[in-house]
Order: sequence, then C-alpha cells, then structure tokens
Amino acid sequence: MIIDVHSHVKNDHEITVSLRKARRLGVILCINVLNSNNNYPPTLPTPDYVTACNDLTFKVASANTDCVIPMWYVNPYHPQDMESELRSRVAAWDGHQGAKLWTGVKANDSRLEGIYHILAEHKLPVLQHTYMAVTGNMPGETNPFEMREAGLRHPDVPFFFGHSGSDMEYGAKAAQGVPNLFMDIGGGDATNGYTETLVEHAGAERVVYGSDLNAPRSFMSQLAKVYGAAITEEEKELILWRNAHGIFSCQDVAWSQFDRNQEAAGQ
Amino acid sequence: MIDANAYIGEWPFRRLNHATPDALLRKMDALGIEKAVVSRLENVLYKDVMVGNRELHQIVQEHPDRFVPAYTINSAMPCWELDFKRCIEEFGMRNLRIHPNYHQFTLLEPHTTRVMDASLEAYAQYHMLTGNALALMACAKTHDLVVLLTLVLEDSRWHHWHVKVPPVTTTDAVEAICTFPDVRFLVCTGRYTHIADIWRRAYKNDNLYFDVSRVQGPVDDIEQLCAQVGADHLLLGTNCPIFYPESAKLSIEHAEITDRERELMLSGNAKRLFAL
Repeated sequence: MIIDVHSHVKNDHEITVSLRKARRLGVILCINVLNSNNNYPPTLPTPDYVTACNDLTFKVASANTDCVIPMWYVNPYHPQDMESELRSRVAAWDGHQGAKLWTGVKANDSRLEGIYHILAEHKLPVLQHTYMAVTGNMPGETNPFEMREAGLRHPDVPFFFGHSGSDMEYGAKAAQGVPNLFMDIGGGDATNGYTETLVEHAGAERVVYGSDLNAPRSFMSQLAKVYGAAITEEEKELILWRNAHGIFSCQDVAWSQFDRNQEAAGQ
Repeated sequence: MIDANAYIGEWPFRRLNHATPDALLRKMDALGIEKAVVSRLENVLYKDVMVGNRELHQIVQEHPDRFVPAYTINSAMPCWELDFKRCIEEFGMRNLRIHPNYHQFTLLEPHTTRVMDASLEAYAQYHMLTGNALALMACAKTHDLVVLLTLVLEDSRWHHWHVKVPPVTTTDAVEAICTFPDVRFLVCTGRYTHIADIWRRAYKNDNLYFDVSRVQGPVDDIEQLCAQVGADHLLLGTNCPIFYPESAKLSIEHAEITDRERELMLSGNAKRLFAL
C-alpha cells in the first residue's frame, strides 16, 4: 500500500490517467481540487469558486471510492462561508477525509480558528501548503516559521506540512519538537538528500509520502525520494503508508473500501 | 542503461550522496546503469575550470569502461580557447558541458555569428573583446562535439541567499540550437514545459536531444513527450548527485510507452549520440 497525501486533478484527462496509474501502483490518492478550469489556481478564490472545486473533488471521490480520499479545499479569507462549506462536506461524506489549505491566509492567521476547531472535532488531517522561496513567496503563502507556530498553537490538529516547506533544511528544522506536524515530501525536484534530511530532524514517523500530482508532479519523481533515500526499509514503509494510515485511522472508518484497489495492484 | 547527464564532485551548499567516483559507481551498479556521461560538479562554480577538468580526466582514466567525460569550458573567461585546445589535444574531448547561467555568458548575441566560420585564432581574438559564447559553439561545431547545455542545476527558488542564479532561458537554448543546427545539443534538466517549448520553437531540430532528469510531471509527462518530441530525441539523464537518480529511471521504466521507445531512452539514443 502507498498513501499519497498530496495529489491534484483539474480536468478529465488528469483524472483518467491519474486514477489508472494509481490503481496499477496500488496508491490511495488524497485528492484535492484547487482549480477546475485548467488555469493556475487563484490565490484568493471566492467561496463559490471553492465550492465548485469541492464539487469536483466529491465527484471524483464518489466515483472512485476504492482509491480516493477527498481533501476538502477551504479558503479562510472568508471564514464563515468556509466553516459552513467544510461542515457540510464532512457531514455528507462517510469515508476517510481531510482538508486542504493553500494560500488565502497563512496557517497562523486567527481567521483559521473556526476551521481548526472543526478539524480537531472530526479528527481530520489538513494539508497546508507551505513554501520558502529565496526568490520570494506568494501573498498569503505560509512559510515554515508560520507552519511551526500553527502546529504549536493547535496540537490537536494533524497537519500535513505541504512540501515540507520546499526548502528542506527550513522545513525539517521548523518541525522539530512539534509532534502534530507531518512532513509531506511532495512537490519540488527529486533533490538528493531531501528525505534523509527530514528523517534526521523530524524522524521517520513524522514523514509522509505525497506527490503533488499534476501540480505539476508525477508519481515516480516523488516516489524516488523514498526509494532512493539512504534510510531503512522500515522507515520507507512508515513514509509510504504507515504514518498516513495511522492518522486517518483516528477517524474510525473501515479501510475495506480500498481492498479492491490493493488486490488489483497485487498487494 | 546509460546515464547521459551526471556529475562527480561536491556541492558547496549541502553534503551530497554519491559525490565520489566510488559512491557513484556503487549507485550505478545498484540501478543497473552501465555507463554515465559525467562532468566535474565543482566546475559549476570554479573560475578555473581546468582544475576540475584535469581531475575529471584522471577519474575517467581509472574507469574508462564506466565514465564518459564531458569537459566544462567557460567562454566568458580570458583565453578560454586555450582551455578548449588543451581539452581537445590532451584529454581527447568529445563532449562539451556548458553552464551559461553560472558562467555568465549568453547564447543570445547573433551578431557574433559573422565570425563563426573564421579560424580558431580569430575566434579567440574576437572573443577576448566580447566574451561571447557563440564562438565556443562554433568550435564545438568544428570539432564535432556533443554539447551538454545545462539549464539549471537545482530549483532556483531553493538557492543560497547570496548565490541566486537564474536558469538558462529556453530562448537562449533555441537561439544556440537554431544558429548551429549541425551541432548535436543535449539540453539537460529541462522540465516538461521547457522541453516542449524548445522543441516547438527550434525549427532546426534534427540534432536536438533532451535528458529527462527534471521531467518530473505531470502524471503522463514521458508519454506526452514521446508523442510530441519523439522517443528518439529523449535520453535517460539523472543529474546525479544533485537529484536522486531513481527519479528519471523509474519515470521511464513505468511510463506507458512501447518497449522500443523505452529502450531508445534508456540506452539506444545515448549509444548513438555518444558513439558508445
């Protein structure tokens, strides 16, 4: 089994190819839609735009329950609308699920308090996009310092630390001593030493596999960060699925819906 | 399998796995890579590239069956043509590595093409005044070299605070490719979008090849490139030790392409391009 905590789709072609390859590889995809019109997703989407994205996420997840976990997109720049959006999505889905935060506001912003309360109440992990670009971050883009602050302030929320901050040294060091921050290896080039650095500072039990599929990454470039890393086989297994499995298992939902996918992949 | 784009050496910004010849050979053995085209990584930042070139020559002599050298020339330095001459005469250079971004030269000065058919000495005199790289490309043409044009070493967003180096633009690459259609270019570390862009704009592309070390998405990247560019112009390259070499290898091995296309990318094209 492989659990990919960070994947995107935005059109029919990506949906078809991504799911076909996921089934062949035995990957469970945690999918979120940030954009359903093939353009670069807006950094500050309206509530209606977010709802349209989640409608597509729901459609993909509903049609592929054997290999998709939906991650509901929220933009807390509009906190009341988004709390309502998240509550309705969670209530309507009876399987494993999580949430996705991209830009809009940063992870340590007070407008997220209501969202975090819902996440903790339902034991939902949230994939928070983070970045640390020496060329400058986007407006509203969370950096590793802000991710650390959010993790410390909300110890009851499991965070997938998106891209591990992108700059691995910043991300790995920012996660030290914050047990609810789980380092997502997805996105970015398959930089040699990336995963070893995360394991050294955060520990293998706090690193999770993500691909950032189609934004614009592939499965294999990101799996290479695990398969090529100089770590033990047990550590690789933790990263590929065990850690994410443990986080989603807190939701007390059966995993049997994924059996067909795993059997088809020979696992 | 043949890796068309790799390095041996250290990188000043972090400790690398597989930086030494022995470590790289162990990794190649583990992945089933028979030969690798290698340059000296330190030459990306050394001002005197002949230091790294001499070291590379020594390393390759010790492992002639495993390493194929690509020597680095910086045409922005004084008397670069003497470095070029030594690489040809002493090292038997057949493959040339260039880093226009790190070495601060541009491939976008078409007025210099007026000297491209002049003698080597004329290039030298001209270039010492202009610092132009197209004279270097003309030398590559004269000596029938394969030119490894590296667009980036690593994502420029992650560079050191005080060493920010923009990538070589696709426009630069297209200019060089179209100005010297007889030169065999291997464009290294292009993303899917870069390769598609260069291929579309380079109207003279018979001698144009790409490595796939940085083709890391979208989900069907290799399949789409095979359809657009053709498998006979795509090569396995790993950009090791900067990248995990498994990325390019697994991307090709798991792509939904024909066995013939896979064979071309993993070894067939490299054998032909580098005459191995």
